Amino acid sequence: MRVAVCLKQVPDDTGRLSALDDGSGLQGADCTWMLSPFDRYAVEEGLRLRAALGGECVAVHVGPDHAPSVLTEALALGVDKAVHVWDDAFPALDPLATARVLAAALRLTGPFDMILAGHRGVGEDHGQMPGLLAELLDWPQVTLAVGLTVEGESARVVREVEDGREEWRVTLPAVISAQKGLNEPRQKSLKGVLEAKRKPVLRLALKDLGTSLEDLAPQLRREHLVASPRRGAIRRIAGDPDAQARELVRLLREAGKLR
Amino acid sequence: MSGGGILGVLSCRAGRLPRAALEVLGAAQQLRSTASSSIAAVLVGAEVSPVIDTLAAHGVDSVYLFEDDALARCTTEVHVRAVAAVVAEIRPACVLLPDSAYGRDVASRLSARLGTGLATGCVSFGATASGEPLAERTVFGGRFVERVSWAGLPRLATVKLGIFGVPHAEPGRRATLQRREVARDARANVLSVEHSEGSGSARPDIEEARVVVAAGRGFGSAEKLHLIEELADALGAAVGASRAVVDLGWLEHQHQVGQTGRSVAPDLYIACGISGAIQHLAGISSAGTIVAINRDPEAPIFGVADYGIVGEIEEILPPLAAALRERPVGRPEAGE
Repeated sequence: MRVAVCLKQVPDDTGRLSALDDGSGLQGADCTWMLSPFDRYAVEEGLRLRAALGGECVAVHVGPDHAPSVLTEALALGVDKAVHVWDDAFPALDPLATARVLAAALRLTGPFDMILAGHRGVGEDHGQMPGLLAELLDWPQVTLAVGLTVEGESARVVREVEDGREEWRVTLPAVISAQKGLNEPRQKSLKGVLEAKRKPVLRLALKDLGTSLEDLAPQLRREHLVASPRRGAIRRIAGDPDAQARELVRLLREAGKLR
Repeated sequence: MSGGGILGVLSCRAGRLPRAALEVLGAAQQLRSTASSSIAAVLVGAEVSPVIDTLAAHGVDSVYLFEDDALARCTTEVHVRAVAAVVAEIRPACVLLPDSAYGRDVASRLSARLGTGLATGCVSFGATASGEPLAERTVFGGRFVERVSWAGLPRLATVKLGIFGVPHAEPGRRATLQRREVARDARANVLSVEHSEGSGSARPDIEEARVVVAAGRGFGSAEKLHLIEELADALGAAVGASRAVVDLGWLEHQHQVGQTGRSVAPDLYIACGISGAIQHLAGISSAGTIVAINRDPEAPIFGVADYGIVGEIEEILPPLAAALRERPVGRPEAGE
């Protein structure tokens, strides 16, 4: 079983981000970066599948170098090798362009039986990568997995949807996206950190991918980005609990918030 | 239809439209630049035809149905193929889907299939000075709002729930009906579906509810959660939870609001015993009015709340539920 896990880097503390004055984007020089929380469930699942079925677990990341690298983190957690895809010639990558880069890198380093990813990042929060990748590879997909069992050439996946759970069967290869609850992600060990330094990292750039800059032209453009408007001042309600409760209900009724 | 209209991709279950589907139609009303652009809807599944009249009443001009009992077991790939066929036929300028598990699944594959951009979780639509459509979405935990535009057609967008409202219904309005068929894909199948509705919980889902009351670590123990449930029932509200409450196993993950949970946009959000970590606030950035009830006057939740009460959960919640159950003064008993 060869599993690829796609990783995203997100700000560790969004409080350190600020919008550029011209509205063109974010100023994040002070920001530290981390592995997107949902990707931890994907890495853990990849490691569990390798332990149960043998094979290899490969971490793939598209993005510029940030320290600490999400790939170093994944290697320390136990993945066998890392693929880092970046080229300074890339235009600003929108989700579709990122997926095209990822798909090219996965074809180049495959074949894989399964691609795992977090069901969404927590930064720009597009939440599109699993579906985009599956369509580009022409594979089936199951998103929001909270349970996964491989049975020969297929997998049974329990997924969490808005108001319940569904169980799907999918033939492999497939793209599976991880939801919180899929497993309990491990912490990296000192041994893992030391071993990570000796594990291979394959670097891929535009010329390796067979993708043209034209294919990467953004289909979705950011026109403007500003800080969210601040909320109005708080109204604090004093008194004994009974008076506080009655006053809150009165204020909410007055504001038309209760029906 | 001659192109240029709006296509809504809707889901329905057992002959009923979820609120999310009607909100997509609400967003379609906001998006359409001229009253002449038509609104089409596509539905794929079993038992979808009972909703045609509801769609027509809510502003849909033409309905494309892929209806077959066997489609209930089919997954995203088949739905995408069906929607892509309608897109090729009517060439809409925009395709709108709900920002739900279903909507994101279909929309993201559709984006790769059509090669056009997708804006997910849209909270508003507008236009540039030159009349190009724009969408607004919140990013980085709700701390920023970005405006995006599309390079090509059709423009794809998923619509955040709880923002746009349901359009005014005009009973008796008619829509044209087109029935279509789609080839199956056997690579993925639905084996079973277990929905929480009917399993004892009469409360709404946190993303669909107009009011959400949420419990945090301040409850101290799972035994006290009946207090949040009683408050929810006094309001007809959904029950949300902070990450701590879910990680402690007091409530299921579906209830979790925040960065590793769900993002909600109710009209009223009442945070009880929730300190308001930045990861929690990420999930309520689109909420209307926020009420915070917490014992710690310095809790960060008070920094984003509209109304604040400093106090103990077990002392405030029972009189609050009681006061909510009282009929407002001067309001007649009937006709509420």
